[in-house]
Amino acid sequence: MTEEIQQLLKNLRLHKIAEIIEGELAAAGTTSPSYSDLLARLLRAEWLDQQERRLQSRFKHAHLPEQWDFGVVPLQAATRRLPPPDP
Amino acid sequence: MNSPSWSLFPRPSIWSSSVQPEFGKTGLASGLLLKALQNGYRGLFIRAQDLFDEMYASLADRASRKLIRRWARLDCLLIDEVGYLNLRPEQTNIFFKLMEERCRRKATLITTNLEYDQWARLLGNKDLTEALLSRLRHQCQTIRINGPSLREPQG
Repeated sequence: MTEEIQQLLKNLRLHKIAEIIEGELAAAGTTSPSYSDLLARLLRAEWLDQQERRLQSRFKHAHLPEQWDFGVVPLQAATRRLPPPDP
Repeated sequence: MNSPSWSLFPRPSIWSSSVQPEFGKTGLASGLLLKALQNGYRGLFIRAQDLFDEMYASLADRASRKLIRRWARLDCLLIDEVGYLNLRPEQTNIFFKLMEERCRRKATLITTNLEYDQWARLLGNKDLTEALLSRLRHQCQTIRINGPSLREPQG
């Protein structure tokens, strides 16, 4: 059964769910969430992962001159280096 | 800038520092490109020299049309350091076509040290330069940056 699920997830390119489903099912065995809660949790993880991968792809193809962390806005980095305005 | 109605789209924007380099134009314009990427837009940072080199290379295998289509589709194109380059008329023509394709459709950021009246020296064709600038400047924001160089010796 697990193998079939893994294969179907792979075919559907749901890589994040494939990665976490074993742990999630094990946790669900003890916490007993509703089916809809479990499904929403898995789909949310997959959606966030896909957004992250798309963002990384856009960054890669944009050829920005420096490798910035996603959280760092170079605007702030650039203005930090400017001297304070005259009083 | 957190929504598709971000004010720069689809307007071109030219970041200019009048004479001296190193005022941070590239960093600031890259910051806008970065935000566009974070908000789901597709974009490209390309140095002007590389852009014109690719344009010239595309002539050899007659791929100019394909190249223009590829760059014209990008939501945000940042052309860095447009300055005094030795351009051939074919490169100027392709650049004009690219800007025409992008005009009023997609956002273009250009950083340069050139004033508008100096563009004719870069492009080498006065009439074409006037036609290009009239398109570029139609809805363009020109941001002039002055201040101390970011690469002055420290300490």
